[in-house]
Amino acid sequence: MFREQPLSFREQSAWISLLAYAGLYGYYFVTLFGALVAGRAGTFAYSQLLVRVMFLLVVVEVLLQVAISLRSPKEATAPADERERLIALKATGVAFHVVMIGAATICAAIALGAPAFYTTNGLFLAIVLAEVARNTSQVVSFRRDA
Amino acid sequence: MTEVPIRNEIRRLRFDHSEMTQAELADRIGVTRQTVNAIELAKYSPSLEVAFRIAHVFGVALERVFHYEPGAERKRN
Repeated sequence: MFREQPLSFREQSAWISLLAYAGLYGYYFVTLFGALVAGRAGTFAYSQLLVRVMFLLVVVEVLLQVAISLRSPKEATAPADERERLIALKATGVAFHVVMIGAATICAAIALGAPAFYTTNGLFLAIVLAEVARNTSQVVSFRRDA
Repeated sequence: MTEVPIRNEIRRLRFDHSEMTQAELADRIGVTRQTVNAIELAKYSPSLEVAFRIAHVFGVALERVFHYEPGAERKRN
């Protein structure tokens, strides 16, 4: 008998992005924080680690998104319905606030003369947190309606 | 978040129409099965267009599908 999938394609997609971002960039920022605590901020080759993490994120996202698309080809090619669009819109609003707070904080840090290492990674952290907030908001909305 | 004060008869109407599944109804009105489920449980209020499509699938007037119940409004987290 045909068994209906409990999670919609877009909820699965949001879960994948959330876990990939939180896991891989979480690893990056924890490693970075470790270097800071150890006093190696000036010598730590964070750009190499960042490129590796970004590459891995693209690979993980592409593989898993393709996998769920193959499992639900009809849903994957169909446009989002009105509830899914509303959920995405709300999530984008949440992410906007996160990135604005991050940008304002970085502006203040630049004005106070913070080194490029901190401002670059701080700005990147704001972008990652915004993306995590966006996906978390989507997952919460999907679960609330389930 | 406030729970919507609109109740519906979709579950009963599906049952009366040869036990139509949520997936079948979703296909016919152009939304996902999860959205039909959310509408049925009064967790999501559909647009007027989707509401009319649902009524059209069952061949009944809109008010036979949805009922506005102001007293049913309550908070949910």
